[in-house]
Amino acid sequence: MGEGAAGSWYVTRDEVERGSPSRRDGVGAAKEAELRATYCSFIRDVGLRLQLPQVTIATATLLCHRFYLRQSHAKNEWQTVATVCVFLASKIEDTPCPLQRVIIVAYETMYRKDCNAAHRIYQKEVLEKQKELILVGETLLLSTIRFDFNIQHPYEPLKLALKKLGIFQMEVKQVAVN
Amino acid sequence: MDGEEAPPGALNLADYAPAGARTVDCFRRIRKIGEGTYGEVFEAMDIITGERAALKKIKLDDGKEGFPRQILREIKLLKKLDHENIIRLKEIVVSPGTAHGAGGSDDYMYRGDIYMVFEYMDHDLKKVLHHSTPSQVKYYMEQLLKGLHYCHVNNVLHRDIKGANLLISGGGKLLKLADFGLARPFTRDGSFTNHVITLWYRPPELLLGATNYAEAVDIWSVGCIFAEFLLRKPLFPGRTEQEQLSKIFELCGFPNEENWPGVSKLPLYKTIRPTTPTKRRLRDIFHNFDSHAVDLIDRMLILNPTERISAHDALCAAYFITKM
Repeated sequence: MGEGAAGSWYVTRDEVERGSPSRRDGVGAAKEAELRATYCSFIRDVGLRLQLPQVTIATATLLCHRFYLRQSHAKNEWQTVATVCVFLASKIEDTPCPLQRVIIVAYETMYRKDCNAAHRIYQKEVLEKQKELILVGETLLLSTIRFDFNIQHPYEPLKLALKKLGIFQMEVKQVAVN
Repeated sequence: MDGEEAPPGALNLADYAPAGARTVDCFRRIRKIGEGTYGEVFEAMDIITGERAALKKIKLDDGKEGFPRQILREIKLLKKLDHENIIRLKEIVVSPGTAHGAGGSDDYMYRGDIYMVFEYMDHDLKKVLHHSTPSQVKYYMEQLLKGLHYCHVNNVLHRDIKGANLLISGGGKLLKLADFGLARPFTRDGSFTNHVITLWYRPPELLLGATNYAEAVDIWSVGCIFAEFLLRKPLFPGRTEQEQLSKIFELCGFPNEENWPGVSKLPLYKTIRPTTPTKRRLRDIFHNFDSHAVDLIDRMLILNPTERISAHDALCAAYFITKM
């Protein structure tokens, strides 16, 4: 499946800042940047709590970027979309996480400052509803990104480069990966 | 819209992202072709281009874990593979999901359907497997091996080579490998499930429980198909795994450390015992056929997978060089 001009994932900064779907719905560039930073750290937190490898977290983040390149923040709640991204990325990267676990951990991360709210997810009705929402979201995510989830991360080339340069110190490696 | 964030749980199911997947409404359904392992297949026509296509509906109903991982893997593989003897996945279309209600307890959500859109092919190889001329057989075998060689070079095992998964088009001129539902990327030291490949075409190492296997598993299946072309009936039509092994050993001889070093360490080796010490007599059943063809079959159906011929070497065999 060739990616035409309309299907390319490479866009300029200007295109995002002026023409993103969120902008058309009145979400300012600064607001979108803030939301972007927020969902990135959310995905990272959820990923770490689920003990997912860095590659899976990176894939989830990229899926989320791709989603908001074509969909608006005003119409798609980022907590929901980000949770869907973590769930799908865990399957794409062959580090699968059961849906229920992803949902519970994401919910607890969302409400980490409010224990009572976080606990609601253990009610059967709330959990079942959330499961349905995430599954509908999965189909929406897949179709929005046009099932294009072949993602190349720089980690493997980086590992090779570090080896070639004879760099074995854990600290250097960690900094490079992050 | 005040330009603020979306309310909790909001997903925009109403508007389709313009650069996203197309909807199934872009196709006019013509007829149902068949029922795959994970869904129905339809012949359909692209309303805009008029092109025919095969639409495979992905079953999601039992998916408590959402979109099946195996299909994610299949899509990933098919998008990477680009060869004239491998079926082309043109696109994936959806019928949009909907959310009913506005947060009440009777809310119900419809996740939408997903279809894989393949190029249209006339029929499968099963249909012609028992009545093809020697020159057609050679033509099909060459294309099958070319497609498979391309897979293997790209570190992909097909793991379900059989007549029904080889599609024919262009008035019997073109063969393509299809149904990568069991395919997977492989590594030399990987460990995989041995519950793959349809019984009649399953190689002895899988039947003996090997989990560390490679390209040779596909070659065995190709050898069985090649033999079936000539004999005009299945070579090893076993009904159980046990019977499958007996049928193989009857023609290919009984495996031992001499003809297959390491075989005695395979998990199920101890459960089998030779009834009578059998010798390899595979060639005997092909006494009336082209000797180059029989030579090649003989090298594809070697018990020891490391000695079995590769797709590349098979394409260089005398069988393909001689004119017929």
